[in-house]
Amino acid sequence: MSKREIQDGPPERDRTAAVGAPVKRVDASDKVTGRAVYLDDMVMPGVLHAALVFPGCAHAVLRGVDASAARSMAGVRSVLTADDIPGENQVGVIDTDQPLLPFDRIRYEGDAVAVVVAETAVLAREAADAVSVDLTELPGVFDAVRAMEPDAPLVHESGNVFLHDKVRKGDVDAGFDAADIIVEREFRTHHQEHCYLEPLAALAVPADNGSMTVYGTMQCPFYVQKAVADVLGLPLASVRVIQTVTGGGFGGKEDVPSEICACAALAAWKTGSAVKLVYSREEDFLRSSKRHPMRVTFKLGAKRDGTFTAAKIRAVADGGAYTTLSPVVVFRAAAHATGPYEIPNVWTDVYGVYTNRQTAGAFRGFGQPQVIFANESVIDEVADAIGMDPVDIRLKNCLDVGKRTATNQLLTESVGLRETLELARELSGWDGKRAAQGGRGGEQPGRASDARDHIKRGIGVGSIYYGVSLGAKGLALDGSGAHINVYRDGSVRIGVGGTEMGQGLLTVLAQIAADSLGVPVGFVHVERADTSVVPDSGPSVASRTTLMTGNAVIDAARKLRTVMGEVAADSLGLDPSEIEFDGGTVGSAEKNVTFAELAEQCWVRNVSTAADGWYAAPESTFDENGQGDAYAVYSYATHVAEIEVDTETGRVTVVRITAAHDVGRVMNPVTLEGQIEGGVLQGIGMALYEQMKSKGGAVVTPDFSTYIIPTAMDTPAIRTVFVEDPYSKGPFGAKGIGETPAMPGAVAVANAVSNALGVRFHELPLTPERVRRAVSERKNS
Amino acid sequence: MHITLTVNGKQREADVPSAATLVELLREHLGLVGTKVGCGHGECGACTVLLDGEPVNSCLVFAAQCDGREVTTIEGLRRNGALDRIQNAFVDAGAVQCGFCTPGMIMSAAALLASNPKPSRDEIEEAISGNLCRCTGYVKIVDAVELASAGTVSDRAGSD
Repeated sequence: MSKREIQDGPPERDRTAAVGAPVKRVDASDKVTGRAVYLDDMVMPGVLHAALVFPGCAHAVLRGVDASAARSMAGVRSVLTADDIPGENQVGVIDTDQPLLPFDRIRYEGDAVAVVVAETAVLAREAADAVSVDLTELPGVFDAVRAMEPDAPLVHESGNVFLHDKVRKGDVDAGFDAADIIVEREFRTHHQEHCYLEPLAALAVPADNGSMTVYGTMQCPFYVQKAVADVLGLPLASVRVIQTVTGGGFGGKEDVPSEICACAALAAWKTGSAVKLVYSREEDFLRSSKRHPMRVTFKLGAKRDGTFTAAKIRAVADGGAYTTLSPVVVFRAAAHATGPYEIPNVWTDVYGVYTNRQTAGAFRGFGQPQVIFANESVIDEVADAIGMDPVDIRLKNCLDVGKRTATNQLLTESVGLRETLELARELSGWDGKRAAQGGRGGEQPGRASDARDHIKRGIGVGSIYYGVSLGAKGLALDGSGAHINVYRDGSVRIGVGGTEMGQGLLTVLAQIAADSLGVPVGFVHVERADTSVVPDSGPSVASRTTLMTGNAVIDAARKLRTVMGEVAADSLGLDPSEIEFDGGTVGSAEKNVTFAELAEQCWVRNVSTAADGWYAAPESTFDENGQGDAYAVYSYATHVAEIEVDTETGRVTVVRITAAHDVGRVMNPVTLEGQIEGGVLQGIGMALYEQMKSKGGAVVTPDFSTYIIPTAMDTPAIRTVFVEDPYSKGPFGAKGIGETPAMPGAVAVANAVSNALGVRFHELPLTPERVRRAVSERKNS
Repeated sequence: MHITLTVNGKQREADVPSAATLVELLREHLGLVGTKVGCGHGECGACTVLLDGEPVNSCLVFAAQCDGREVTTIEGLRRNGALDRIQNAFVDAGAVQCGFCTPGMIMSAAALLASNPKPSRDEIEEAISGNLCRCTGYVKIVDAVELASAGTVSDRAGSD
């Protein structure tokens, strides 16, 4: 029985001409010709330009802002501080601890204290430099573990430890007592920067009636709408947010655009003019969120046959200066900390801690890649200790239908993890290569298979699972809408709240709509997100948008088929039950009209051919002991990495990645493969290159010369393979894919380097210095 | 200062501040916003254009240096509304995601193919190694340049 046959049937219809096909991206032509209009490409007559004033230190009492010199400069229109905010000085999306403009305290270097508005961007920047900020510096805290100590400087009066999520399952002491082998290690990961190519940017346009329209590069227009309305003291209906073509997000444009958009809107409100604010790359590094640095202690117990008996995990996440999205990141890390395995006894504590560093928020994987580095490393050490193959030990313990997660959630469908492990093993040639390279990598160094003695080869694996959408701690945000309008010529326009940030959403939604209405994909035009078109649809994050917005499109299409089908039945003399929508025609095999003719008939009869769709996530739970059905469904993936490491220079080269992903259903194989390939490179970046460094809270790697991301020359051969284990509530069976590609790669690379060298690594990235040190320590030991 | 140059085959004139860069000239004075700014320091390659046929980071070139010279931007690749073979290849190969690096990437590819019509994958990777992309993992971009060099791409009218 194939995976496809197990399902109850796709939620709509199985006739899918567009879904699953390699449909060309609907926005590709505009992007290859330079015609796609990103925020900074927008031209508006009389537009003013804003620049921000930064404090120049990470922790201080703010005594005052003297803008008199700036105000007197020709061409400067206004300088705004906290005192100028007409509404609530607050942009925190979950907790209200983050002022838009600080008024009494500076908590990190990116805490802008004033907005300067001038006739040109150059002038605004010059005037911003002329603003003097009266500060009394305070000792700062720049390490999360240090911040937990009782004598650490306080970032907020409420205390530095602001989050603690736990999972308590079974009896962890009994589980370790029953183990034959126990491995416990501490792991460290650091700030990772999103490096979307388009920096943050916003344009706010005020209207005489007091309303405000805000354009911006963003993932979450409804967050921006709320922040702008709060800051300006306006009703939500007076704030319209329109997403412009967005040059990448990866989580970095989840909540952070609320800040820049609210600054632009405040400036527009004050001056009565349109105001544009565009960050330089350095400002973007300084002020945008990062991946949480984490310190993770992971203890795993196993039987001699490889069966896991208990896991105990303690993780400390550096949340930076404000709460931002840490509550959901910490929750996700806690829920997934064991990795995708059935472990009967689990004890997990994950803490979120304030420091005077950049805020840490959403970044592809959302708190999981850090704990994955820990769990997938320790598993390899356990496998080495008992003489078991790393793939075998994963297969022995992996989640499957009928198994239970760490939160004791019984998995009932769409668990393709085992297939991803088996496919990755087979397609990578794992068995032969692992044996050739010394097999038990921890025991002996890999043998060079060529004459270059200083080049060692290794192969490693990483497996992950990812709860799709927001889960138990994001239920209030977890509904999404779509509006479909069929014009009298049969062409279809769709408004949504989900955002295209490069991942291919507009194309996939057009495919879903085409098959749901039985029309060619060329009939369908999907508009970028606009808060005036659909109800608050939550954020485009957490690999949720194809699932949530896709289901909303299907819901709207179903309503349209009912209404339009009745007209068709009437005009064709058929019973409505005989009406089918397929291939651009409507009716039965014998009697039918084209979809365009039917649209015209509806128009003539004054029948509305517009419909709204809505989809709300199923209930999920996470109780005080971290037990419950934390997420409705999970996506799964396994990556196998093959590497070469030069033991003289410490340089690691990734030669090949085999990436196997359970996606539920492939919507578009080309865009899916592209997303996976991009995620693979981000994983390699996390493994080998990327660490945003700061000193005393000041970013010392603020650009692409000092913060290194992979180039085309770092790209390995990438083999992607899809497992389709459909999700009954997903659109055509699909689950989320946005984040999983970036998650297993980093640890797979680290495990491969360990296989090559016979040493374990407990800190990322594996820079040449760290690798060299490990090699020489091994020689000396 | 006043400069005269050829942009996408047409003679253009502009008065620019002496410190103005080529990308500022293109975007702010000539309205050619297809060329993107990702960093402003010649690190990301998003602003790549051709100056007398050679790829340059237009954020690192002063507008004044371009007086009397010939500049080709992404807008200059289309001919009579039709996409150029490299542009078509990027669409066909699925090489576009967020699109912000795409114009610069295509200009680097155009420079490569002009001097080396049948490049190897290694040569392509090297030629675009100054163009950062965070979405694609570069695989389909290299595929697209290979496809363009093979000449078997779609003929696409574009969206005029």
